[in-house]
Amino acid sequence: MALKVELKPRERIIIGQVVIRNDEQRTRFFIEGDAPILREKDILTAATADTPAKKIYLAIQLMYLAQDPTHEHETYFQLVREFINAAPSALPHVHEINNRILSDDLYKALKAARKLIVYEAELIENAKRV
Amino acid sequence: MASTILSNGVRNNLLTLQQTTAQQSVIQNRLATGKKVNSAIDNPVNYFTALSLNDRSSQLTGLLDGISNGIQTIQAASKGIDGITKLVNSLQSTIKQAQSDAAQNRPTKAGTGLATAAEAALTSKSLKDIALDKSLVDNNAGAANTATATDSGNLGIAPPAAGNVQTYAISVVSGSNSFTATVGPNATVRDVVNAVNQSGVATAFVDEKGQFNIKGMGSEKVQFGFGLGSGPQAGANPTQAELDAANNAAVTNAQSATLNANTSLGLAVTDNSATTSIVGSNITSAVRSNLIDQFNDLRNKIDDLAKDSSFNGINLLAGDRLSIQFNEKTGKNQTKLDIQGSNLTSDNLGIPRAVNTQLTGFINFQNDADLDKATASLTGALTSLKSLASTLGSNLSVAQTRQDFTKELANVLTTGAGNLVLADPNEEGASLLALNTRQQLSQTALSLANQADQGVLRLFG
Repeated sequence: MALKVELKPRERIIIGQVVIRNDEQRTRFFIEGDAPILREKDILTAATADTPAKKIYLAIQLMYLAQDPTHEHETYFQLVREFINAAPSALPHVHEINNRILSDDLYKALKAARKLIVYEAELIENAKRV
Repeated sequence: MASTILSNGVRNNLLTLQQTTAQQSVIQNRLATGKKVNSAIDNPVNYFTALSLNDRSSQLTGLLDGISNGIQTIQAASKGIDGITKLVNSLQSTIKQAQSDAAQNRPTKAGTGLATAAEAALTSKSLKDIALDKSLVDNNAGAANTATATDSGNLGIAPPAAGNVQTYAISVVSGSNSFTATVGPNATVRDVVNAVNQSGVATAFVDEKGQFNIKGMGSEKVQFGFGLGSGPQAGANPTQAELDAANNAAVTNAQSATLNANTSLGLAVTDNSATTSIVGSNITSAVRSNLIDQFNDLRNKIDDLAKDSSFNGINLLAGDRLSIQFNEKTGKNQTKLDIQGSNLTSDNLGIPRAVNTQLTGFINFQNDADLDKATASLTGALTSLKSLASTLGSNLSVAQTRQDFTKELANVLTTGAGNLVLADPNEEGASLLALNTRQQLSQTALSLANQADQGVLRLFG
């Protein structure tokens, strides 16, 4: 089944190994076939992945783009271990991510990593409260 | 979220934690002072979550056993293929040894001479060259057909009627192979020789006595026919369609066992009859006979080796199917690797048994044509083995990386679950901030950034 995508003016999207940048008008198109697809709002880069959870997200994003769950898995597990050491209560989130990866569902793993980012923000916010 | 809030002082303290050991010492302190107790009463939610995650970890460890067995099954098959490949190599050298001893039984026939000593005197050429240079058709009407200093002579085949074009054809049949070819209106004996030599079934040559010779490539009897055919020709030169019509008639004539023009080449009409074709001698080579046993022994070893390549009751070289489970789910949520083995036997690899006589489905070691076919089928067998080995190799690496991965997952769960019981969300925020600071300079983050800067993500810089 084709995936419907709608892009805002100048919005970018990754499809497979290429970046598509929209022109000045809204665009709607359909994607058929099997390729990693990431909207601009879901993309993190080395510069924007500036918290431990976002780094984990970036690592999964790299797995997803490479379509290979074992891609850089040394780095991934190092990040996960560090995170769990710092915040053991995040384990259920991490566990969900790992489960998704183990089931070869990297897109869902990314979604789960997004929850981890939210949880991380809550923890930090909590610590900052006076 | 817990309602306890850190005091200002504690928060500031925690925020400034930047050393690698920082939050580890916090946890260790907690353990040493025994402030948190590992019991259901202390923090029930965390306790039960930790318990279920520990369960999950042991499930994963259970899976690891299966993965590890699967890996060994693949390795056993892979070793089997290595061994079989070596055996096929030995079979190849057995065939080469057989080939190096000349076959004694190739069918051959020499026709009557196509050139005379008188012609040799007139042309000062060898009998062989005179014969090769002769035209097929009588192209100097009225004059003698013999070769002279000015005319290369001809075989005396009657030219076509006026308004017709005449072409020539050869037909060679040996065993299950047959071949036909045509030569044009102005062809010479040399053209006929070349046409036969393209057959891959028999070879032809003109010997020093000026005789046309035909020799089988293998040991099976050879039927040879030479024929001619004619058809109408409208213009000065024949068109392709007119040539085709004549060629068809020539092929039909060459294939006929009774009407062919073999006598023009000094051969017999009956050389193209299935009953009286050209046969070889019955002499067999002792060297080749001796190699038959060696070949068949090696061939049996292939079957034995394939049978012995199992692990844990699964043999990928006997057509078994290996299924490695990567998670403990069932149905469509299950991730697994299925490897369908293949039934590796000499027969399935296309390696027939060797014998000393001509039998369908066997290699006759006395027959060069059969040895050539055997060489080809051994090369084919090696290709199949190589492709099977590479399939197994890639499956092996998938299973091995999955094994590493699952091990790591189980580790994270076990250590994580242990810490979870002691978890205090109030400290975690600060720990994460400290971790973040540390990670700015860490090797892991650097490697991640490097990865992200490659490929498609660099376009988002």
